[in-house]
Amino acid sequence: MTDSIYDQLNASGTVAKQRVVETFSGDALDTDRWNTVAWAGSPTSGMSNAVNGGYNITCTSSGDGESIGFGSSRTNGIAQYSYNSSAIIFVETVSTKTNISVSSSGLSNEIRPDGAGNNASLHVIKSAFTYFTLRTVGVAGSQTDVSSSVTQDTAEHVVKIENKASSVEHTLDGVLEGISSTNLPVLALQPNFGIQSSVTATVTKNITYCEAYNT
Amino acid sequence: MAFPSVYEMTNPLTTVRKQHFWEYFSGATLNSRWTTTDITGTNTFAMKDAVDGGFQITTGGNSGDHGTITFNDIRQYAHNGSTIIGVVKFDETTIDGAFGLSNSNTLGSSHSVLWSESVESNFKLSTSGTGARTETDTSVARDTATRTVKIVNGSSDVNMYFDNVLVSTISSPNPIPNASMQPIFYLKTQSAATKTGHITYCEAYNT
Repeated sequence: MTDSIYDQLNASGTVAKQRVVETFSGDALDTDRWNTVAWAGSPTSGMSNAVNGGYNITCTSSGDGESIGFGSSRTNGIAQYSYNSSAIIFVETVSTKTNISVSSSGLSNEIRPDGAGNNASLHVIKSAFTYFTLRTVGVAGSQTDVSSSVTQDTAEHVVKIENKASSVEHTLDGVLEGISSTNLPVLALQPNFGIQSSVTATVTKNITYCEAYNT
Repeated sequence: MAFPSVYEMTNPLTTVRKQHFWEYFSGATLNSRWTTTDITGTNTFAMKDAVDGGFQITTGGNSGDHGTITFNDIRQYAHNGSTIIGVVKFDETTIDGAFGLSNSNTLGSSHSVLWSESVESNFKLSTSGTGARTETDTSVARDTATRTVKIVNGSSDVNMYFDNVLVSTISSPNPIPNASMQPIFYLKTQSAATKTGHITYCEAYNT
């Protein structure tokens, strides 16, 4: 048995790269690490007082949107994860698969819920979609959507997005579901979790785990 | 062989991980996930500037002064399927101290905690929920040693371990927790003097 977490995550003789683990457990979001960035309207967010509650972002009015990331504003992020050699693993769910303009989670250069902007690799849910989708966003805002075989639902899923040298891989619950090789990000990235509603109704995104690391 | 991720140290990617957190109590200040509460008197909550110092509660100097650190009633751990592990130390025996999971940030109903009480000879497992609070003996004399404490909340029983040795069990229909819980570290002085207790690790997870 090894004595250190370091040795359990890194082969002997290798230098550990940047990694973050967030368990979303406690009385408040760790605001030394995360910032909430309002996108539109008056969404609310906070720790959930429930078993396996994690962190919630809730929209109630049409167009409400909010994200959390490592910066104080949409374009003022701390981007420590490589666009071509990093991974993010997270556990999330949404309260409904309707009424969602966009739910986007993954690694992004910007902090925004709409799955747009420039430079991102995201797990996307939209009312207009049938299946969970991998979206990559390139430097000029062009997007590639790769649909998975998994129908959008309200169950919790383990999502892994891995940014490689010439592709981005999308794994759901341990199964590789999609690969994008176009419109890949070309700038450094940070974790980004956001949601935007499409109508006046309660729409909640819940996150209970996030781990990002360079590979 | 190294794990590719912290996630995969405890779960394969084919399994949705349940709520799980750990805290090292290392740094300049207590992480903002915790809330400190003065239940009685004015107590001091601070990181300890010492090797293996962790976090320290120092009670006020009046008998009965006591305080806790908790998640301010954000209860994310199941009463019937959770585990908490801590490394704790009570610096003197003339105190009441507790560590474990509790529905209330003042150690009220629905809890399962290590209980060290100044009037008792041994450490106890204190549980409440379905019925009045009950203390179950451990046969381990109260002392000031640093211990790894593990409390496992099952659907019909609660088991407590010291340094990986089972020391106490309570089963329903005796009182066991019946509502969701949060971590708690509690310290109370039972004399007119300040008392201290330390915690250097806490990990809780649903099972």
